[in-house]
Amino acid sequence: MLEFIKNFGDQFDDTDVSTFTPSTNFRELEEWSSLNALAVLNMVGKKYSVILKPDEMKVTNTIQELYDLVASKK
Amino acid sequence: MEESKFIILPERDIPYYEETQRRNIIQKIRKTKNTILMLLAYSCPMNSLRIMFHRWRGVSIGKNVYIGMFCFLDNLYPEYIYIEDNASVNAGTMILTHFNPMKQFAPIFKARVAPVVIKTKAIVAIRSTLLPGVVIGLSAIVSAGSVVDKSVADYTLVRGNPAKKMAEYEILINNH
Repeated sequence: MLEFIKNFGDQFDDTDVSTFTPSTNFRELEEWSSLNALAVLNMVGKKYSVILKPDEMKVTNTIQELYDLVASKK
Repeated sequence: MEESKFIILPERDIPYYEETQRRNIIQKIRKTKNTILMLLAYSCPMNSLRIMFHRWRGVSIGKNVYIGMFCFLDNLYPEYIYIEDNASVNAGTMILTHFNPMKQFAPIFKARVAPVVIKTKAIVAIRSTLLPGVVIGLSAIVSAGSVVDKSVADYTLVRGNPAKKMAEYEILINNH
């Protein structure tokens, strides 16, 4: 999980690393945009070999929920 | 990056600004022809006609290409522009292939013409600017209003001035 949070945080340029915890609602982050969503989808595909569709990601709000979704598809 | 389907003209030096003011009559006629066709293509409401006018000017354009209205494709060296199949160049885009500063800048800037290549399925969004010598990679996206001064890799989204890489998506596209 810690590694996933680190990888997730790497997709952001301006947001402080300490902001990212399992309960962080990434959709409320100021930097969050569709481009970050694309970068996260690409990161999940590359590092965890899980190809998520944008619609599947839409139902997740926190990093924990996204992690669970990726784990369930592995 | 893959090889282009077109034969790409190599980058070369061109005269500085002052020297271009002494053009001969053939060059003047050529520039006038390019300008008239550019203006026709610029404001024509039909994509097929816009492409036809740009091809007449010398731009290399592949199949099923979209070129939006109000696009400015270099007026002096349009033959250095290559747009491959299924690419999309949206409205207001400016593609430049040459740079000829005044001679006083010769020590720091070289007057040159360099090819601009837009590869297959790439998208250049509205009001972007492509500078001489850039290659927009396969299925790459140039976000709206970007100024591209360096080549863009395949399956990459760039944004801003100067354009910076924002995301890659090869794995997402090729696995769907």
